[in-house]
Amino acid sequence: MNNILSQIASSSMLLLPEIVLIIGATVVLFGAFFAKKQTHLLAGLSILTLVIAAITLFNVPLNKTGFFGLYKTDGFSLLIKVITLWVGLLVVLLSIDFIDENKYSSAEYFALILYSISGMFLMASANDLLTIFVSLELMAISVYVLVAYFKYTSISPEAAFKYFILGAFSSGFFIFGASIVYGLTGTTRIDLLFQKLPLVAPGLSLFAILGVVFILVSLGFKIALFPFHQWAPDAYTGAPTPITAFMSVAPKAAALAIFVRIFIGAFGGVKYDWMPVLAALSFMTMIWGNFAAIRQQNIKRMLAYSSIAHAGYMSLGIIAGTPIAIKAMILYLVAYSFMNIGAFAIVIILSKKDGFGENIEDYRGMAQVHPLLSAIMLIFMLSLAGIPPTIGFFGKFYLFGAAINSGLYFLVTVAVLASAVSLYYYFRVVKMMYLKEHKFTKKFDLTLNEKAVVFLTIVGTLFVGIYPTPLFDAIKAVFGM
Amino acid sequence: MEALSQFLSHYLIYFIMGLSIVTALGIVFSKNAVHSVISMLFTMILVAGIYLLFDSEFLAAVQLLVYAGGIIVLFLFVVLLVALHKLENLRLYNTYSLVSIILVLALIVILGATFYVMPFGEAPKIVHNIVAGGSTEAVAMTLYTKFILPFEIASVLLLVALIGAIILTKARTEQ
Repeated sequence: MNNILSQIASSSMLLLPEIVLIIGATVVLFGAFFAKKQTHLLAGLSILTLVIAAITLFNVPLNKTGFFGLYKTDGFSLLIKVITLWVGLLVVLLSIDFIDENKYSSAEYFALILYSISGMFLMASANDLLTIFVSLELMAISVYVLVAYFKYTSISPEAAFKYFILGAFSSGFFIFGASIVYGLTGTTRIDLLFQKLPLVAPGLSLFAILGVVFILVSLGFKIALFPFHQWAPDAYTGAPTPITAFMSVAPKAAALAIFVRIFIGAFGGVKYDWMPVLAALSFMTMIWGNFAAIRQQNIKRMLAYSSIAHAGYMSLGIIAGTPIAIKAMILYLVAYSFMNIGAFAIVIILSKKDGFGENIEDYRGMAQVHPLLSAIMLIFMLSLAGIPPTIGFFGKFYLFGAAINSGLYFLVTVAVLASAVSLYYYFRVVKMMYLKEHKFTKKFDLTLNEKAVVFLTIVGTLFVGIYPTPLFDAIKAVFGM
Repeated sequence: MEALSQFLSHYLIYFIMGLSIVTALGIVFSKNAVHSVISMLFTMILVAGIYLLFDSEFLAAVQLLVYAGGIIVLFLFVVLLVALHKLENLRLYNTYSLVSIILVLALIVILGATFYVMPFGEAPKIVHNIVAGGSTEAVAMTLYTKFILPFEIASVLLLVALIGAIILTKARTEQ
């Protein structure tokens, strides 16, 4: 008994960043007691929490398992956690004025962002199907509420409802699949599943495939792969724009983390059973995401389809499955966090007061009045399309290179052609901005925190695009492979 | 005597399982929402019966308390609070398209075929008294030691769900 208690106590040290986040979120929540608006103070508290979480995160020993093998700190989980923290920081900065302009209370908003990040941390480190499921739900429920946060508009609750119903449905799939896998192997631990799944009696292998496919469907919902993507455009359009930015990167990173953990970690031994299915999904996602984005008039909807397409590219890393491909996938996620949050920052700055700037048409003639902001948007669009010298080019280059190394010639060809299609819709925004005949009349000003986000993302996009070595070295060093 | 009880409980399981499927279909197909909730109540009780026959008395009690006791009551409240007769013309339930029928049939065929070819071996034997102290102690020992982490995460999850429910339902306060 003492032995068990001491193991729980020593494992708790590994959980320190999550504990910091949950305590910070609860403190921020108390801001709701004050009648006066304290948005700046609460945002400051949230940022402080994120910074303390980052400090504790870097002090947690790597390559340790705790809680009887249910929790694991490795380089991969550290990188995913850093990405989610980084995205959380940018989104908090972007939200301050957006939430003030729209007159919603900020305490619960920031608290839910912090709670969802704690869920993502647990997802990144969870080493067991049950723990993965509970942390996935912690993340998902926070995000459902955040999507519905602007509840006095008509589209925000509707979007959240669709997202919630489909999300609950996909969680049901996950549990069903996990129960089949548990029934066959008698364990939910990722490392034990890896050993035991290939040993399942031949007669039962069909049943194992059924369980694996159910989990694949569920995670396909979470990262919005092709036939399971329908919630994404509606949820992205209906959510408050900073939350759209958040959803497009952070939960996706965490869901990809459990995707890698489950499919490479636990189901790696039965790789040839699920690889063709995932390859087909990825193929359809890249094609559908890019072609559907062409038709969109709303920029949030367009970026939603673009994020579906990017999830398709990133799933190439899982299909390839080699350590190099996983590293390339993480690099792509880092790149995506810079360029996508950057593009959303411009949309948020433009549309925070009255919703003007949510349509692509609204950008007509912006370059004459705001040449610098338009140039920055141009660079983000170039980066999303994967044109050098931007971070997006290097992300695509290494990801596709790693996939080629694993022999995925056909899928990479499709991915490259799909990226070429994506140029069309990203450049429609650019074309609108640089059209001369129209007078751009919208007046807006940038606050300090918005300037900071735009500065950080544009510097990251260009700096890594020109000089990528430090980022590669950092990822390589942390990954330890 | 032992053989007779084995035989009886064996067929009792099939009977209860079959009945629970029938009541589950009742949830989906009844036109009246209150009837749906009542069918759901019976399904939950029958599922508790299945747990009981597999010697999971703790799980059966939890199933009865939480689902049959708590959740069904919530469902009934919602059904009573929402003026369902106003929604009747909208055909909110009992709408099925050809696509959904095909998809459901395909899923049933896939699942059925998988189960059909499964070499299950002998019919399920009832294993009595797996652990001394019954399943309550076994559940407690696993939940509070080996699975303490998901248990703790679930507490935060419930807190977040609570906060979310309050946010979405509270009235606007002027600021």
